[in-house]
Amino acid sequence: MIQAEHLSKTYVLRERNGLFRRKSRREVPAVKDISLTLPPGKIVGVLGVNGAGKTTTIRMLASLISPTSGSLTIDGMDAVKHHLQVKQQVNVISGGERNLYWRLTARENLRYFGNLYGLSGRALEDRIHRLLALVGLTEVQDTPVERYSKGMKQRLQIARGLINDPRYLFLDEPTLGLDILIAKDIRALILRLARERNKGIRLTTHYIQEAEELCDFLYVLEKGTVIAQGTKEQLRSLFQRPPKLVMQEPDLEEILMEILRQRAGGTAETDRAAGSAAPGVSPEEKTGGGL
Amino acid sequence: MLIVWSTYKRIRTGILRAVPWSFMVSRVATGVTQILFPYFLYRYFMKGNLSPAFLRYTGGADYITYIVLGSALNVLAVSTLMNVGRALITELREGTLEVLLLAPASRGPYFAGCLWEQTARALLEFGATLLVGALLGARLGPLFSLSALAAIGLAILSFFCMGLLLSGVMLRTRDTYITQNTLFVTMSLVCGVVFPIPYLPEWVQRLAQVFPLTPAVELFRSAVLRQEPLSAHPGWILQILLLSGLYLLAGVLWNRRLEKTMLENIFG
Repeated sequence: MIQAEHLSKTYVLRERNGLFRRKSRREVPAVKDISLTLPPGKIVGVLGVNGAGKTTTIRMLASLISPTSGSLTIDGMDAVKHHLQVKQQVNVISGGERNLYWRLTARENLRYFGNLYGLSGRALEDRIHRLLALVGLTEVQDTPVERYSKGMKQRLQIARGLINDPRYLFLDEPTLGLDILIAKDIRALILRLARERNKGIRLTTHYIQEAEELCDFLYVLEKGTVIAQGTKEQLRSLFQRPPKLVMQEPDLEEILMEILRQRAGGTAETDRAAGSAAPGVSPEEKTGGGL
Repeated sequence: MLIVWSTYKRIRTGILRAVPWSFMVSRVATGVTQILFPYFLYRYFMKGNLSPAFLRYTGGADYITYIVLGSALNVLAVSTLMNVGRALITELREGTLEVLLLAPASRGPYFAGCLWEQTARALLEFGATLLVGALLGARLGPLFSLSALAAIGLAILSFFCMGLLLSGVMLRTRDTYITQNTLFVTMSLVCGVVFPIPYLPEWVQRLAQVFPLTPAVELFRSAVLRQEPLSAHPGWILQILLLSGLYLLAGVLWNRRLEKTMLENIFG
């Protein structure tokens, strides 16, 4: 289990005010006295607006930066003192298209990152094979990453994050900018990693629906401080709001999902149905090709 | 060794996919220009005349061979410093620094992989410069002596160590162009690449001693021009090793410190 107690991080910024003036020193408290736990097999969500301290917390938990104060243990081990051992057991997956070598293929990327974790030979090749299958990139494994779509790069990032078979995974907006189908696949994968492979997952997201779907426990951060925490039920009960009965038309996301699902079935009947359901939409738009 | 090899392979694959030949051509062209410029001055401006001071300073060396050896070693210095120096800042710019720092691998083998990859390329450029120099009349017969090869090896070691420190400077200033170009122009001017340093003011001569290229180029020339064994110049060898040690220590310590604060300064 990852246990962070009274964790704080203050950045010291040195800014030059003019060409010949001395740099001014400014302290920015990014995280203030945060305590949180991450058990294996659970998904813990961290919610908050930009600048709330979510990414700084991930970096401290992953031993990328040292906390200014507080204690951090991973499976009972002091994570600040033994950061190299910690790095073997954790990994970070961020949303976006960075963190990959674009000129290398998926297989070459995973091989390089595997080597950085001391893996090699048959064991590494088998793991790469399994991970590429897991994220559905086997067919394009020998294509340079620069030719991948955003979703493919994101899936490769997930494979990269699993290359060292970490016990704890930190996901920083893993579905950022992805289309609804890929985002759905990735959410299903995250759930499987926690439930079937017993990984402790710490998820940072701006999508409240995503957090609600995946997380066993939630922390809400604001200006570097935890302002609320609990299970979904506990958070809901905070204000004792009565349940709402809402009548709602199917939203556009549901409609698009249905069109795509039926399109994948490939029946002409489905096309007609989709066409009639969305008057004025061209056949290309109906297939969801622009998603 | 695993990380040395995989870093070598990763950089090599990336370069071959991105700039298979153009990169190499431009680097060879730089080396050749370095010879051609003083060659034209010597042939067409100075009409092949050298001052007695030059012969005194160099022990009667032939000028073409003198500049070819100096320029070739300078090409090697520039390549090594540039590639080792900007390895980490390139990772930062390409967005891969964070995942590199996230892995438990140490930076030593990583830099060694960068050195290996770039040395393979830089030796080609070095060879091409020498070849063009030979065509212009440089006498490079004793180039393959043990002393000359050992001098090249010592030079590469010292450039690598200096490159580690340069890496820290680039990361700290987040600049490659001004940093490396200022350094390279200064080195070309003060390290005795195309003229002996006693022509320079006393204080510049003293400044030149902080660059390992200064003793390395002297050692290399002594091995090729005068076929002297390395043991004839323990002072230069000691200077190269001492500077290497100092740059290595400063580079390792600074990079280690920077790694701790880098993500805070860059992304924080």
